[in-house]
Amino acid sequence: MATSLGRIGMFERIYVEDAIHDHPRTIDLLKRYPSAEAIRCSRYGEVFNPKRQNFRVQKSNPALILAEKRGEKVLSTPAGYGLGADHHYYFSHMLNCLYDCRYCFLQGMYRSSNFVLFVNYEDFVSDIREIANSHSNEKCIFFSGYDCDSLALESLTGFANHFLDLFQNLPNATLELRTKSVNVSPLLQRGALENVVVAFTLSPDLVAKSLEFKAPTLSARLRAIAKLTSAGWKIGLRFDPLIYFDNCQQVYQAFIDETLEQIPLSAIHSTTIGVFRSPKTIFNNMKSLYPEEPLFMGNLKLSNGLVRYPENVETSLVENITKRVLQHIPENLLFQQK
Amino acid sequence: MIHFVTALDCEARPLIRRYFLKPCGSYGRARFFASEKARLVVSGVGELRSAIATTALACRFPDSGKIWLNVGIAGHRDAAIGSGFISNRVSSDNSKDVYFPQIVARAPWPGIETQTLRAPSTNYQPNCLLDMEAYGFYSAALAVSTLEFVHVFKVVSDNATNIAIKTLDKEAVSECIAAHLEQIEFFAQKTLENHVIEETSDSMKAASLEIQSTQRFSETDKHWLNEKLGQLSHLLDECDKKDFSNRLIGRDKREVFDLIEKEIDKLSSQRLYTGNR
Repeated sequence: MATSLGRIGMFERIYVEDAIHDHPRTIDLLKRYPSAEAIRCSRYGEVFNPKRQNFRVQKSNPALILAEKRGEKVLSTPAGYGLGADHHYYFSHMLNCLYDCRYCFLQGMYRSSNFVLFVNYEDFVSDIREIANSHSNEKCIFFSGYDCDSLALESLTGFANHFLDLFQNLPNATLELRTKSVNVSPLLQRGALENVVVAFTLSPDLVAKSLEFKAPTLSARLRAIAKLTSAGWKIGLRFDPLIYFDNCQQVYQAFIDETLEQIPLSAIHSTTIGVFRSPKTIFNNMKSLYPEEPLFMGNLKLSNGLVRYPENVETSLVENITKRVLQHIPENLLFQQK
Repeated sequence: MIHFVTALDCEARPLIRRYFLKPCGSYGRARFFASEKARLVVSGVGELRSAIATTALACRFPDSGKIWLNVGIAGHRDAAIGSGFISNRVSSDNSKDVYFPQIVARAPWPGIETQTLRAPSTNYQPNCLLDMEAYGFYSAALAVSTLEFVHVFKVVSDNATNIAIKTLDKEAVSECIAAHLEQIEFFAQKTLENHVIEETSDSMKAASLEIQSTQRFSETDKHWLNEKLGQLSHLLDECDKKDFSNRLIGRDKREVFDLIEKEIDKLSSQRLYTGNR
């Protein structure tokens, strides 16, 4: 928490898209960072998308880009990413993340590690409401946190507070806030919502220390979960990505036991399991950014356009961990991500 | 290694003194200077000349140039003469495209837009520097570097109350640049600290050459071999690198590939487990 707040306070440059120069959220953010240089741009892509930039280098001192999200704001999830509802959607109010997880696809997908914040929340709200209303007799889940961490920059964005107000009045829709952040006070300050899931990505301490740079420790995340469950919030557990390494089965089993013994079953909305996998192009980008990273070196194969562990490794990892998880939770709460 | 591009001799002079740069040839009107720490080209005035000189410097020294700096003078509506600025937006009256240099080290000067013009002008704009080279320099340097390592540093030489287009005081220009030399060097060093150096160890390189000298390798094979030996350079300590290199010698290509692959599979999963990184 201290780390993230410290970093938020350090924006030296804020790029502002011409279209949202006068947006109240833009004005408020610029007021909150008076020492940051405000730099105008026509479209955020001018700053974010050019070739010849280095994600890894920028990560040491990222800038903030304030932009307007145009076009489709809410999209259907790819096949294999559901949680058993009738419809699954995702949306991104931000691009890029405060944390620096070595397995994260963002570092291979975007050329820049600057944060893009789409300030036109009202347009997202309108689209989500319209979609939810179009499925009034069906269950919809809306995932946030695909292109960013949903809560890590909450003190900057006010995202959760804004969108919880929306979901409070959308009974057929569920919001998933995907996070590694322990910045849960905005949630604790208001009553728990039955249709909001705070989904934590969790990895064994060893993996977190080796691969989840700048992210809160496992124990800190578990403490945040405990606070949320005490306050009545529903929790999602995301054991994704599972990482293969020497002795990983034992490490993961102990981790699953430790984690699930601490969380009351009644608080668990869902659990997902997924192994490390990446589209080839994204993987190659990540590998060229971090050539010294062992995660990208061995025990991987290209299969149907995805770089992943060999089938025997993957099957063994998934089967063993699934078995272990099912010792703690019923099968209907477990979903596999492919 | 710092690569400087200046338009004028008087802009280059303080840098030449500071870095003990010696003349080392020319390309057209562009003149090169070099030392162990830095290289410099004096391009002449104008966007095109700057682009050509920058490209020529990059071609002459293709192996290095980790940071590229355009150092020079510019006009500003109301900033004091001698004030230094780092460009955070580089535009041109000759192009719709705009560059946004990514400043990863804390810059000792305020950031500002630099607009490159085709001809001298006193039509000063608010919060904007006017120059005649930055855009050309930036376009050319970006072909060999990235936005984090290409920067434009300008010192104000004229403003609305001190218009000095026709009578440039060369001594004053040199003095203005010289006053910022410490900060230029500090900024360059801090920026360079972010540069990721990717090197395959000498023993691995030697092994690669020896293996390739005895068998036929396709370009794909060579690429694979070099990439994997680079990975092993990170996974093995110095002593093990030599041992492993020796194990590769005298084997046929398929055996070499298998051995390398197995070693990487083993070591990478060990490294992830031990957290020994």
